[in-house]
Amino acid sequence: MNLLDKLKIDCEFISSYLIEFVRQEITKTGFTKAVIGLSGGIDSSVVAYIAKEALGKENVYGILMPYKLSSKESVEDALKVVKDTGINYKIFEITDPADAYISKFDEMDKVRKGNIFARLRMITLFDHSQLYKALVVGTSNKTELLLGYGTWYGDMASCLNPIGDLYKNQIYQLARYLRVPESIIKKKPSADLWVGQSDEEELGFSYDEADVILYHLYDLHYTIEEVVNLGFKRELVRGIADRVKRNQFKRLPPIIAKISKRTINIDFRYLRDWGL
Amino acid sequence: MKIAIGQIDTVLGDVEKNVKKLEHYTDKAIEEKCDLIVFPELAVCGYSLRDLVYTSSKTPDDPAFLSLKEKSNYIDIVFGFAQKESGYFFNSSMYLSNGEILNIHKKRFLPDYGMFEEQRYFSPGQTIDTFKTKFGKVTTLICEDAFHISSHYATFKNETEILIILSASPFWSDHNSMKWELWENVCKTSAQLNGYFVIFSNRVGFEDGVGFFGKSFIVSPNGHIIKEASFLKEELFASEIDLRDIERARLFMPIRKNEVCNESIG
Repeated sequence: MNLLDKLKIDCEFISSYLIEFVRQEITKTGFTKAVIGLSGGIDSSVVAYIAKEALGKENVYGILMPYKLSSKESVEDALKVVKDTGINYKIFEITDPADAYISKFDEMDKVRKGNIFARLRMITLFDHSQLYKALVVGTSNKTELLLGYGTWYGDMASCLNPIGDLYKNQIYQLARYLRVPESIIKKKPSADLWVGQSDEEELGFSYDEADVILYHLYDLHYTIEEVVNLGFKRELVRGIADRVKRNQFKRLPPIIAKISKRTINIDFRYLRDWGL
Repeated sequence: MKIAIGQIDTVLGDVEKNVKKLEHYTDKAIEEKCDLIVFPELAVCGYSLRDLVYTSSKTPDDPAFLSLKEKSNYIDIVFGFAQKESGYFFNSSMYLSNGEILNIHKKRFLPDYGMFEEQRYFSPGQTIDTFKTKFGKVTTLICEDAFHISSHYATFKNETEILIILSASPFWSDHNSMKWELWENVCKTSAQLNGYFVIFSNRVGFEDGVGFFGKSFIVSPNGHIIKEASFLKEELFASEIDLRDIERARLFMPIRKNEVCNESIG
């Protein structure tokens, strides 16, 4: 059996499940609309198709937030999703606010700049959340959440996330099922935070490798040694396991110093859907 | 006999709203001339209660249940609720008939693994009882109870005729299984080995991303699914059953005939 076959999902059930998730978790809070940051990449495209089915095209706002160095292809692909789904859209360039901030420093490395872009996009999305009375639907997949390959309070920020329990490979399966435009499925994954950026080059491994390793380590409880025995280099498996551990903080709200007998999230324990 | 299943979503921690919904579906089931309606586990309060257990738990004589008791003069009603008793809490089910409480079952096996934290809040029940109803001998189990062989041994030993399972079962899947297959396998096997009907009432709706999948069903004493409700959709689901099928199944496969039940088990 091909190891990737273990990540096969039943797209029909999973898509209807995610559509219900988006519809119910939004409408029960009293909202009816969603705002999504559309990058032209596969993750946000899949989320747009799901949100459109859940809420109706008139209730979904896709916001394109290019920086001056973003690839033209990204905007073109995002517009293909807009056209195909019929959702509302807006192009909001982040170049001015980003450059205004960056210019306050003599120099800035690309990671800091990437974080600034991600957080400006977060500000834009949450501002449009208030403007349109719409909830921000997140677009981080399980692979990047586990690897911590995202900006804390940037692209990782949202009100709810339909795809956070799907590995990148599974996002591709869903994209094909939902008939996301071919150019989006075929291109190399990129956060597009700087010119020519490639996720897989930056990470140093392919998404398929990461997905198989993560799935065995965390979903199936394999030990590192057992994953190595599947045919992966020890340094690769260890490196991925280390990333997951190091980035646990990104997956949780800030920790609180316990003083009282009842501390928020420690022994004051309620779901967010309290009363909903 | 006509059986209804109220495959409902609930409002987390709002007993008043949920009881209203139970009343609504009970009225509909009465209109549809059903004899019994079964609601899911913790139907009057929601599932992932956490600290809401303290405010959502009720004693069985709470006025909140008066109207349902009254309606049970026209239809037998089973529902799950968080039960308060001497400062402790139980994940319970109540069987109402002829305006009275006929049985209360306290969930015996409280899951505390994976996403579950029931044992943190609830105390476990001690017994699995079988009781007489106007339709025959009934046993109620709550979700995890049905994953324990000892529960099925109790129904076998007690000569149960209708097994009712109340559930709040969350969806998960992987490349070779869907969560409901587990339920279908357990219920079909139990029905087949015991020659009884199984009514599986599961809830729908989401609680902080956890989706309850629905797909409630009724299994015949031959182990066939008679009818199955939809995936994820709230609905009132009704089906006719022929109680004589119990006897027919036991004539065909008289499994219990040669069995001496060990009283110390179950």
